[in-house]
Amino acid sequence: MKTEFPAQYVDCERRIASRRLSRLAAFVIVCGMVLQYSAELFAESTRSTIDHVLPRMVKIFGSGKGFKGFYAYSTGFLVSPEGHIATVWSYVLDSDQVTVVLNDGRRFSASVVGAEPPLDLAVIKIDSEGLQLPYFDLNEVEEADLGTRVLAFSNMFKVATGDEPVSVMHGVIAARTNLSARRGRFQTPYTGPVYILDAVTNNPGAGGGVIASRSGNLLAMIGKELKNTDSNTWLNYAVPITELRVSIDQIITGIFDTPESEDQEMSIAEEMYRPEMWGMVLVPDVVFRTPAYIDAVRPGTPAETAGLRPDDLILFVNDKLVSSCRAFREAINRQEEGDTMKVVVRRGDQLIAVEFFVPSPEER
Amino acid sequence: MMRIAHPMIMRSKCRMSIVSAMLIVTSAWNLSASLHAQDFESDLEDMEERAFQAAAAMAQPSMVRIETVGGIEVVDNILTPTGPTTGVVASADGYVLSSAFNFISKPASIVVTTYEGRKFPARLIANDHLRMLSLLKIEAQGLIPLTPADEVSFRPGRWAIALGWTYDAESPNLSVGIISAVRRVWGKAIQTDAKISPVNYGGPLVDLAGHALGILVPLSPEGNSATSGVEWYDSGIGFAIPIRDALDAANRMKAGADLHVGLMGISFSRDGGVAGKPEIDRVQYGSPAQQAGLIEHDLITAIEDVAVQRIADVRQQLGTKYADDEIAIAVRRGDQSLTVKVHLVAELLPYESGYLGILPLQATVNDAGVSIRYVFPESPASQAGLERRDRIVQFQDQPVKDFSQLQDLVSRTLPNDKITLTIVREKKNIKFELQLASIPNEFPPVDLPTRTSLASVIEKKTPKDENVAAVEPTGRLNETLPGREDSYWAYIPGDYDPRDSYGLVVWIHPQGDTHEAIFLERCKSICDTRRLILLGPKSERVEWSPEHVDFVKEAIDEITRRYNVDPYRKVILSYRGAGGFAQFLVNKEQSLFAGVAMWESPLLIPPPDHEPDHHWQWYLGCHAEYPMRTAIEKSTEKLREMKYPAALSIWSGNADEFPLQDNVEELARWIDALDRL
Repeated sequence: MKTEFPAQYVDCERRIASRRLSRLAAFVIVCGMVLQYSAELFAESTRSTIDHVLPRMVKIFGSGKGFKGFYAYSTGFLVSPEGHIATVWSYVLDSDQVTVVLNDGRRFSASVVGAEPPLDLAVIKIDSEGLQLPYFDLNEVEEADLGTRVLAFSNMFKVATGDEPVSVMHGVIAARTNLSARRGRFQTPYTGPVYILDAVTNNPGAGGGVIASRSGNLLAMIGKELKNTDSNTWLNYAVPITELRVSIDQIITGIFDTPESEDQEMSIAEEMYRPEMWGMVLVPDVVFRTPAYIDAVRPGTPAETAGLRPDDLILFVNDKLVSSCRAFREAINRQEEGDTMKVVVRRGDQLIAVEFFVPSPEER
Repeated sequence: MMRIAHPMIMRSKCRMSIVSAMLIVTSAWNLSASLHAQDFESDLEDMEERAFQAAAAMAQPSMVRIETVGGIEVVDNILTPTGPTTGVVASADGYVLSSAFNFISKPASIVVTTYEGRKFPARLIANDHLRMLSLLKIEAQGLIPLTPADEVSFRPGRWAIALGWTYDAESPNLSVGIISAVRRVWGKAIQTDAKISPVNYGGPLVDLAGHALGILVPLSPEGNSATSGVEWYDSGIGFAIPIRDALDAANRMKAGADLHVGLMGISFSRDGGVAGKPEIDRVQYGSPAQQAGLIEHDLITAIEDVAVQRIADVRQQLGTKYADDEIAIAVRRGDQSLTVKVHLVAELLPYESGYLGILPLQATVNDAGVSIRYVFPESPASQAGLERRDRIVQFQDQPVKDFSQLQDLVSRTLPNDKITLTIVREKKNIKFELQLASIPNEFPPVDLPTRTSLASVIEKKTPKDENVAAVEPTGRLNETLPGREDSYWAYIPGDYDPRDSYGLVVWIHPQGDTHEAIFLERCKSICDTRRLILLGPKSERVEWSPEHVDFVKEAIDEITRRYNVDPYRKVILSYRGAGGFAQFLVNKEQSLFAGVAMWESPLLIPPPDHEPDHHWQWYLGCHAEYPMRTAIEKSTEKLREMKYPAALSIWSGNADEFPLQDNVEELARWIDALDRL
């Protein structure tokens, strides 16, 4: 799966070369960690964290003004001593010329090393050999709880165009959840864990910025501008570095493990199970949100044995809310032969739980 | 009352989480104490962070997660959210408060999950349309209600943490801000810069102790629907209903009835803006303000003993009041000061007059009372048995002197009122009981007798005075007003008799064509039979504009000075593009006309509220294929909603042709019945 990204973004030779360097780097890091640790214990105020993070942030500019109202700038952060920069995968990197501007205004042209579209992740590289640029050690990332104070760093709104660092915002972690978002009408590919931020972080150009803890450690990479599918509001989210770390490392080193099949949320190819198999006849599914009311219960079926009745409203399947007839059909098709399916219905002001055995699809 | 249970005496499971929350608070302090060597800044940030987490943990047991099934997809152009929403426990016995926004889709079913994961089906008990809250009920006991925050926490600048339970089933989501202001949105809400959006509407705004400041709702100073203010989500301006007000609202809603914004029916002059003096400009007819005795030019000095100086102060005081609240209003009237009690209502009903179903005989008669010229079939009068030539001499206990008095008495009744009429029939007094109806929108029947058919009645009573009749010319006139360039034409029926009163039709022609010849041709014979005078002010070169108002008014004055015009049958008739000016004129000179007729023009200017002072009747007509037909039909609907009597005529034939004689005949019948009671 991970080998499917477009070939033009893979620069194999460079990867092999950098692999050796990164191993060397890893050694250096381990040595340095002991020293760093004590230093960072005291880097706990907002001011000291900003001093620590800013030199590790870069501004990324595509060539031209971007096409048709799209901005051609974003944010990235240094992740290796060789000048590898992690950023969000976007059309900014499609430009003929990608320019990286450091904290102090030094400019480099960058090339794309690799990308991981399902994670909205890309790694680019500048030639900074011998410059000893500071970088984030991806082994020193943190995880944060609800309410943890954080700082967000990004090149938002292209407001930092000169020899100046990116913008800093403060906020707290508002929630941890799995991303359920859309871009326009399209569901986003990444549905893994994210931090929801209590700060308006996801602005034009902010993608690829970072969320750092007060101790200066990396927490997450700021994502794109997306809308929450549940509430139709703009989302401020960031993907934990722990979710990205392996892929960043693989792109840098060029070594790709073939992961085991992760396709848990496979789309249902065909409708194997139907409510009628258990004797439930649903009301006609007329609108997108038709509630899953039972219209009739067939005699001599498991539904009748379980005591279901017409006008019962099916609310939960295995503790997950089913908000419509459609959602119910999807839910029963996620069952596998031999499972016990727990169904909760609402009858008047009561919730009634029943269980059904899931037979093989061929059985009636 | 609402602080029913102290959290510490709850079931063991809750106690554990409360205790752990307390531990976090204490540990934050211990930690900070032990780290005094570090710089103060770091110390403070650390303490604050722990405090945010502790506050969320403290409030969590009083929060619920709400899921809905079914419902409408789009409300007020907003795609209704489908995801989980938030509520708070209002009482231990299962009342839950939330934001009304969370239920705008009118879901088929609501499920509430308490903090420890128990699921309950919920009933929506009532909505609060003032504070935008909803009250739910679940069949649960021993819930942990929110603890209201101390008074000292309600100060601008204090930390305010907004909590929702929408992202993650395991734990709430939070947003940290401060209280930006209190008593916002006309006194209703706390304002905060925490990020407030559908992810936390219905959740609590808490202080650092985790005690409730308020309940988060979208609000807007302008709009008053459940979606007003949603456009401000996450913008740094968000609102919460103060917790005590919310709990009071919950107690009132337990009865199951919705709470509504309290209205009293006064308006102020727009000239001063909200900073202007609160001098009453208008008191709506039949409103609580009128019933309490408030009148125009009263200056409001205090509401519920709080002194007010500006219109904004009045709105601030009234902004928190519900329908059915009784409030004391102090006013200054001249050099007099008085205080009245006003009983607020949810809806100011448009004025609508009762209807007997008769046409009076307008001729000058010596006997007191009002003689009946015509009884409308199937009207209350007809059903009660009233007949033509009956003379109404008493209305309820009031002796009836003349038509204008009777009209005034009827205008103070309502449809469905039961009244008693005393009439004289063949020299005998007879009492009738009538149940009044609404003034019908339909046209009078085709066989409505013309006024001339009753000439013999008049002839007997008042002998003709030859001298008066001879003075004024009849037939078609073309005149200009002294000192004015604008001219007008008029048509006076050939057998004009000054002892009879005549209806007046003021013809407002569309730009560029006076239609004088064709209009007269279609009208002439009808004017003679229905006794109508035509007046056609002309504006040939320039479009009708506000400057023409005085000209038209003076032309009408000139005609009514010279001829016997019935004030109850003065009508303005416009055609197509002239409708805008006609409506402008009617709104500006509200007592000039009794009827407004428009050929092929929709409403362009909203008419004032229907009141006895502008008790206009409307006529709208157009060809069936006229492009603006839908708009004209909608205009008629709108007028009927405002309880104006409004007749609608849709005709067939050649679409481009000027309205035909039949249309004029129908219009004339309508005019003939304008003095119906």
